Amino acid sequence: MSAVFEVHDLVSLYWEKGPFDLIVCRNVLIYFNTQLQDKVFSFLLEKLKVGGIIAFGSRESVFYCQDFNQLEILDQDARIFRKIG
Amino acid sequence: MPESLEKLVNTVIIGASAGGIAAIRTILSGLHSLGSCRLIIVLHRMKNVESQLHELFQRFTPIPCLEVSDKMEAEFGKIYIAPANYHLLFEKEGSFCLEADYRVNHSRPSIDVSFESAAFAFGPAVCGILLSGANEDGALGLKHIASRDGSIIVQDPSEAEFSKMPLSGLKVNPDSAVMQLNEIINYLNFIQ
Repeated sequence: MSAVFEVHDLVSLYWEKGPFDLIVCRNVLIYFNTQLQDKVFSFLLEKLKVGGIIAFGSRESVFYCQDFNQLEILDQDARIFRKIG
Repeated sequence: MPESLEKLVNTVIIGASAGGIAAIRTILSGLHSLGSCRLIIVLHRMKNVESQLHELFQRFTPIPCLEVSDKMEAEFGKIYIAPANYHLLFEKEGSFCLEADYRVNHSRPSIDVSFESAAFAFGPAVCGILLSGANEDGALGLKHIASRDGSIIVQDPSEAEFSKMPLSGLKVNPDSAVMQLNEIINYLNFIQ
């Protein structure tokens, strides 16, 4: 089994690649205001497969993002989630 | 009570390093309530130790102790603990924000970063308190607080378990109020 790694600059919310099995975006959203956090969060979820895993920084407040209900919590303290829908 | 400290302080930030846990525990045990103040604790700790400091401190006070997450509201009447591995900053509207930038004074959270940010966000409403520690973090931050008409207090170095941090605070800010822990407790119970 082989894995493909891709890097994306979040300045652009348009990207043809994906959806992915795993997205790691640690300690990036903290630099955005809550409106932009919401936008980027939704973009990342769009690019995540159902059943895929997404990880944020340990004290990021992703619980308040509007699409958070698409995720189930795997490890709350480590901010690791799985997309359920 | 020095006259300069009798201002409308509503945001108290305690910075500490080595020896800080015991000193903060003493302060919390002596606090009656926070009234219309909020208390923020910025304590250096080992970077790989996942300690639940807020749970530890909660054992010594009935006042709610919370660990800060990004964009959390800094409510009055509560105690907030800076999380490990982030710098803790403030927005003017009163919420916290976290940064994962480089260490400052070998530390993240850095006390200088939080003091300076609070000074710019809240000006004269800030009181910075520097306690025991074995490095020089916090001294420049106190200067920022004083320059914005905030209040600055340094723990009496002769009482501090590690005197380097309070001594360096005093060296940079000779006009700081010097207090022992019991005087800091009296002050905090007085300003609320």
